[in-house]
Amino acid sequence: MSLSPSTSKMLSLKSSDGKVLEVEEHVAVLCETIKSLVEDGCADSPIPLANVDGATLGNVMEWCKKHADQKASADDLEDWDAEFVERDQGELYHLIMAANYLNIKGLLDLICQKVADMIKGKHPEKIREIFNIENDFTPEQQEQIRKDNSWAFE
Amino acid sequence: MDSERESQKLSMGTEDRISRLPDMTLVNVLYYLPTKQAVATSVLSKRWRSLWALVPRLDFDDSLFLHPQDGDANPVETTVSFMNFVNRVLILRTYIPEFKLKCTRYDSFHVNAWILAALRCHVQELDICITPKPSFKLSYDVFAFQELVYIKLGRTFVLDVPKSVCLPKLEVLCLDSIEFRDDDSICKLISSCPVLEELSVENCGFKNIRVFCVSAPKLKTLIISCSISKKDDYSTRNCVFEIVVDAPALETLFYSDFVARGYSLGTLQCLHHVGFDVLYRQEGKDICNKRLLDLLFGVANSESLALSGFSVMAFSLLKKYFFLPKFNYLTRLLLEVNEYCGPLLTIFLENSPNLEILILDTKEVWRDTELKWEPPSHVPKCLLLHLKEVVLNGCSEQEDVIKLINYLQENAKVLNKVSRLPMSPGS
Repeated sequence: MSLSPSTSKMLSLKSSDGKVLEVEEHVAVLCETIKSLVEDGCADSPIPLANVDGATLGNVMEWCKKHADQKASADDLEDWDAEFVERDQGELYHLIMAANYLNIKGLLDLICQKVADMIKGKHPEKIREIFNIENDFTPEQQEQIRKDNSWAFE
Repeated sequence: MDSERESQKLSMGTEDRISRLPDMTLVNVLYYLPTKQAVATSVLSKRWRSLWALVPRLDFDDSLFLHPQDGDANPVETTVSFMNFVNRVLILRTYIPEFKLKCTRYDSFHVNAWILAALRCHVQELDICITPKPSFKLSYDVFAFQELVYIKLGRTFVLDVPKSVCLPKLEVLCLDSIEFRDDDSICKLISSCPVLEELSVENCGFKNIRVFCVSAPKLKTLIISCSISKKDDYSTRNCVFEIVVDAPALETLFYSDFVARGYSLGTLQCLHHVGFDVLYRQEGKDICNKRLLDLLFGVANSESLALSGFSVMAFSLLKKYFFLPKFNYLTRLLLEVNEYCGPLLTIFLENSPNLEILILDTKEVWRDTELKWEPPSHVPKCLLLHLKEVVLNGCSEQEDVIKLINYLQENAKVLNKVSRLPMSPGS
């Protein structure tokens, strides 16, 4: 199947909150989920994306558009990506869920890397604070884990 | 990143969204952390307790075991706690597609035991960056793990290769700052990888090498980048060796060194991109010239060629004595600008009938020299039909560059873009 930019047609994508987005096919097929639909010939009517809201879909397609651009150099993409992930946790969460659902490995890896960078070099207490993670271990369990895994915390 | 702003931004809201992500997504996050830190997330909450054990990669780095903030680190304690950590994690794991080990000062016994324990867990990508004790010898067994797809080896040890090597799936081999034992051992290692696609040899020790032979039928990318610094133990300043390449599928070649004792590049029909950074040796320019000519003829089929300032100097002197080859397929040429560049540029314009893109680059090291250029007596063919873009990086103010651009704008029939950019970074 030819998906070159010059022959690309438009696809309609419908978000969970009913917004319809017109996207060039060669951009949208960066989502493996959409690519399968196109290849199976099921992409004619607006494609319903029940798990992605309109704002997130817009962000995802912005990323896809940049990465479908054959003229963008690797350095250029790297700088662009670094700026793209400068978002609050809420947006990152929605993007990661959307990248999962739409099966876009590049975007998923990018955001996972960003989240890892937020964890890197920080103490557990600080990580809990950043992400609002509740410590649901009892003090006894906590002590036991520390003792069992003392080798990991030196 | 402004850390205050970062933490303010992050603490907005009170929802724990991250723990709601699917297992495999959290594992994907932990993938990007060194193993020590991935393991440390197990104390966050019950949700995180055993996620780290699912990460398909181990990444051990002993520098994370130093605690400079706690005052002087006790080297013995650090060593012991790192060894404990690696041992414990390796015992717990049975499947490790990617294994990375970075450490200093450990002996053969420990390092090899760790590598072999990991390899038995189906490692496909092996990345070893060790600065071991002087007597270190990498276990021969490494060369018999048939699942390996990627091997990166460093640094500062002598690479011994066993009589029998079996790496039938190896696609990428990167050798960084290691010393070769002799011609046969390294030649045998490379030629025992039937599907090798990428070979990178950077800052390696060539003092025992007479002929560096790369024979690999599927090789697409070859990078040979040698150290020329006097201070470096592995500098090739005093090394004399020949380079023989038998890689008919080669697409990308990057080569940086002094002029070698000789070049034999075979037939390279698929070359897309070639980059040279070649320096004259102090002695015998006449001998060097002949070798450089062989090198240039060897890449005459390339589509894209980039020459550093030193290469421009070397090849420019060469043209005084010899006819340079025709570059019939060349569409993109990058030259670093210096006083030697002008005459060479004219030759390239005349010998590259299909040239489309010309890039003139200025580097800091050549900042004080300028292009010296005179128009050719006849308008070269590439100007009449193909040259459509010229890019000037940091040299657009030079007098002869302006002269060149005026000449091109007058004579290049399809030239439609001249970009003037600031000097590119790096030296």
